[in-house]
Amino acid sequence: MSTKTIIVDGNEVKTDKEMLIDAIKDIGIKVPSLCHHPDLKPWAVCRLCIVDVDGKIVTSCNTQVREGMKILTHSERILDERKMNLKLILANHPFACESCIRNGYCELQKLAEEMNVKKEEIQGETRNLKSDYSSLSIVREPNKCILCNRCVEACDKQHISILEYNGRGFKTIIGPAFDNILSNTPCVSCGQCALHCPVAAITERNQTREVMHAVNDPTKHVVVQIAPAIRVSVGESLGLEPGTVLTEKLVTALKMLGFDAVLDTSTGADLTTMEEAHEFIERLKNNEKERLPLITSCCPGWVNYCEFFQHDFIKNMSTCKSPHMMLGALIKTYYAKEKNIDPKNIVVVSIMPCTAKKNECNRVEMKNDLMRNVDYVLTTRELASMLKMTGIKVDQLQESAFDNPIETASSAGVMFGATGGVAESVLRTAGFMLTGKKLKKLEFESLRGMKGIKIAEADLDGKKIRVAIVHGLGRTDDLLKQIKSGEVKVDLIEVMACYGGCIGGGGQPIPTTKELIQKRMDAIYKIDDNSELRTSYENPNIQSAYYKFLKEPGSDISHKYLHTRYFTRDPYNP
Amino acid sequence: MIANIGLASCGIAAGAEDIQKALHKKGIKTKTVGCIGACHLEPIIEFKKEDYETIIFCSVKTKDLSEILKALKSGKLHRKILAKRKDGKEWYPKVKYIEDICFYKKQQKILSHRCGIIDPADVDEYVKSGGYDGLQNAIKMKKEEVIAEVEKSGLRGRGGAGFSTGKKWSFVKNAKERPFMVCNADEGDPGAFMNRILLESDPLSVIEGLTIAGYAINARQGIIYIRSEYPLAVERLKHAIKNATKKGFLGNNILNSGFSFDIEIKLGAGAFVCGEETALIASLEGKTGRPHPRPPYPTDKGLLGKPTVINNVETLACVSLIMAKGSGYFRKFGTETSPGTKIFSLSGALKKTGYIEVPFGIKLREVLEIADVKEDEFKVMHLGGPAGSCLPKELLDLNLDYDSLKSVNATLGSGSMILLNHDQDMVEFAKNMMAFNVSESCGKCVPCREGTKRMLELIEKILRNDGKPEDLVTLEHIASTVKDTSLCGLGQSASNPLISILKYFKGEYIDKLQGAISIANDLAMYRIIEVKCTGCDKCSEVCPMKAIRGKKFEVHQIDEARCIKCGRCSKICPVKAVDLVKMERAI
Repeated sequence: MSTKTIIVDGNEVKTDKEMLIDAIKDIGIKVPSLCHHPDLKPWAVCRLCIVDVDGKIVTSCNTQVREGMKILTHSERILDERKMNLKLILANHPFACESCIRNGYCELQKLAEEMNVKKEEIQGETRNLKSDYSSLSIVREPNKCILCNRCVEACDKQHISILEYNGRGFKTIIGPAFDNILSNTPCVSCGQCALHCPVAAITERNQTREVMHAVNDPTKHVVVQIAPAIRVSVGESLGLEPGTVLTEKLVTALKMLGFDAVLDTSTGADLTTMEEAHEFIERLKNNEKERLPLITSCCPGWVNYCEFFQHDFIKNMSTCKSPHMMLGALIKTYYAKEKNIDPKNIVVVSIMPCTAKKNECNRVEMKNDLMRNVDYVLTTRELASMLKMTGIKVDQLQESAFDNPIETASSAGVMFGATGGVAESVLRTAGFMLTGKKLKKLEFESLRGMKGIKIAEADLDGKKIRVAIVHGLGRTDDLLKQIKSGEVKVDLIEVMACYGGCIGGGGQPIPTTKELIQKRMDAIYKIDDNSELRTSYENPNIQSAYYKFLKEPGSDISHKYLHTRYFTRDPYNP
Repeated sequence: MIANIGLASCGIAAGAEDIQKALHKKGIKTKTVGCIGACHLEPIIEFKKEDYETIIFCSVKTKDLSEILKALKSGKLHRKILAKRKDGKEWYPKVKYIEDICFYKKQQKILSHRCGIIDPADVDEYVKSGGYDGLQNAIKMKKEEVIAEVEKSGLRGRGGAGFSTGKKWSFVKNAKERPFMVCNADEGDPGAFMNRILLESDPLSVIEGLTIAGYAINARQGIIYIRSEYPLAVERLKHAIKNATKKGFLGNNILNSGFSFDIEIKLGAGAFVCGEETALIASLEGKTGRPHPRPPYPTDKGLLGKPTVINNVETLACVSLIMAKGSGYFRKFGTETSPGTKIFSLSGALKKTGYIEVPFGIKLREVLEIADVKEDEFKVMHLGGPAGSCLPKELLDLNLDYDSLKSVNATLGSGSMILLNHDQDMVEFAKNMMAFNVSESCGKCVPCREGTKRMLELIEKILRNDGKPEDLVTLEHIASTVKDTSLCGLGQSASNPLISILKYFKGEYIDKLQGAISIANDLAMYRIIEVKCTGCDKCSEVCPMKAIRGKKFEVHQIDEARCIKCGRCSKICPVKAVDLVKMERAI
């Protein structure tokens, strides 16, 4: 990008940014906007980011920087018209902040405060649309929608496109075609829509009340597990620096909330690593060409997507359940026996960066012995709201340890939260399983990072494994086309539905941008750098679990509790 | 003897098809022609007896036919003769030539001269009257020369924006990919039917223009995007294209020039916004017709990502004329910066509805003359429909051309002229224009989607006499934001009618506001004159406060306590029985 000189509010500025809104942000002025998102293409419909360029009013989000432009960012006329557009948006928005899920982190609310706007001078007809509670993961409230198009674009990026403009003019509704409800669509519940919504028009299904009810039930033993991504992300919702690691303090906080035991999903990830590495090696050994490349299955968004849209690749899927499911299954068997608790009284709650897992834990296959492996899934955002509601200040707490008998996790398990982490963890264990020795080098840098599709050859001390890492379902679609055509040949594919992996998941703190995902990712790999236990197979708790209960990876018991199956689903008849 | 039957939509609506059948029964040969412009006089039948001058009859009914034919036999006058044409042996000395009658005297029919004369889809008739001269000239020139000629003519887009056509074509001169050439026939303004007339009466002039444009910009594919509410125009276009292709004026290697060009017709689906270029392109691509921000402009990235030039129907008719007779001829008419003529469609509170073709620069006053509207009956002429503006009495001497209108903050629009008289409540008219914009807004951007709706609600509030002075301020505020910040042309011009009505007729708004009445007319009362009242009940129907009591056919009474003195009862009373009585202040 070439450097250009522009004049902003009378000051000469040199910039190499392409769009005006970014160039202005660089010099310290954040032009207000609602439909703009740094990770999405500009749509230019809120008309709040207007600036005066050489006497003309233009939207800065989609105006390219030209040499010599004279820009006024806040003339009286500009401020006036921004306010009017904001008033017009507010005039068609329900006055419900106090009970709204986004109270405190709503972009519309923030703008109303910043621009000092009251809407009372414009009153008229408002919408009276039905809310959609049909999905187990995602809730739609079209009355709150400001028609910014971010959810449409986010779903288009995933190559699923179930959200679109319906109708015209004042009667426009953004939602599934023909006014359909979400459960009648092939929505995969990845939650990218909710993650990008500036208001509460499309959000996660809030289950904090059910969980707190269970916590306060003296007859129930409630075990909560936290996903790898949570420890490096939840701080953002509590006003802390992005990338702040809160693991041990979170354990204390959860105990204070009333949970009977706190476990680490990373231990489940260690289990998944064991099972999947074993499965992978078996397929390689038996030259099961049809079921290679092996595709990871820990991402329920990806599983849903595969069942709806990529039927040809169902046979490639690993049969492993996702980490929290495996841990949940283990809790209601191994843990219950060790602790001498009737598993029927155990409630398992998973705190996940993911909305799709709310849907996943309801699957018929995610049950063993007539009990669900996981009873509730809460997102990072819901955890933050529970902490706020109870006034618990996480950063001021003492540290606590996870509960036994599965208290230790390897950092390989923690890496599951980042794109490339699952594959890296599997390779570390597979390396041992293949060679009988610990790998000389445990790090696989070529699998890490935010690049959309990473194709690399991993050297397991002599044995070469070709790996493809992809995050984002749109890019997954592109990669699978290349696999089908033979253009790309690999042995193992790791798929994450969300950008950056789980740390960019649909349940993560809002805002989530590429920048913030990178900070969360850096924190995860730092944990791995500083950890002593860096492989799943070396985890003594996991070794005990196998010795005492599961016998060995791939055993009948493992298959019963830790593996699952898939179905082809018709996107037009979900 | 042959009878030319005016069979454009106006003629058909007036019953000309029955007349055609009746003439056939009487053994008279007929020819289908388009509209000559005086739609208020349809059915119009022009009789050509042997080689005598054509006699034009108007408002013909089937029962008139025997008498008409008798009159023509002997050269006798008939009350339904409108005029005659100077195209044969002189007769009927008392009948005026059509160029000399009031409606046509000031017109310059250089674009519409074939309308109502030729069979619309007949290529031979078209060629005989000078058609395809333009294309023949163009293909002998280099493409850049054709573009230069059109630029020299000063032709400005007739769709409303008035952008230089030659300049637009020059944007694709060095296009790396082959461009598309599109004709915008999605004429959506209420009150506009200029394009319809051309397409129903002389479609080949548009087809020729489209072909010449395709040649100039090196296109291979022409597309006519036409609204589906014009079925007759679609039919005539299809027919004309078929005939033109048969005669070698379309298709491969046109007239042995090496230039090949085909035209496809695509129908719109009922959205006014699809007249906007980027929305039109979206519609052509099978997507919902919603505009995109510009840049990128269609000439850079348009249909299917390729450079696309979109021109209006009338613009293309001008192109045929310019290439046939030269830019110098075109410049003889109109003004320096707005050369040529413009077709305007007349409707509203006048008898002489139809279309007229006049040179740019004609005064508003002269248009009233043509339309036979008396000055004291004239209140306002609304130009350009829901995107246009009002010209009141003060502007009677305004020249009608792009720049003169711009200087008074008005726009020409596409050419629809709606004439209003003193019966028209301007606030009500503003409401109608705004309601159209509300229903046609695509809904993408905040100012147009929300702003037009709120403006409509405020206008309706004022009409209900529920409005406060602050509401007028809010109305003006919203209007300017919608104008300045909307994403596309529809939103940017949605406030125009309101803004211009507020400029010239603010009083009509103020009169309706709460509080304003009592201040102005504290000591005035509306009273019903008992001896005059017929009990027709019209006053109580319009009273917004339901302040008028009375049984039907009995004398009505106004409840002075409820009356807010809006004056609607007085305006509507057919026998002028409602009086405004001013009282002396009691000491």
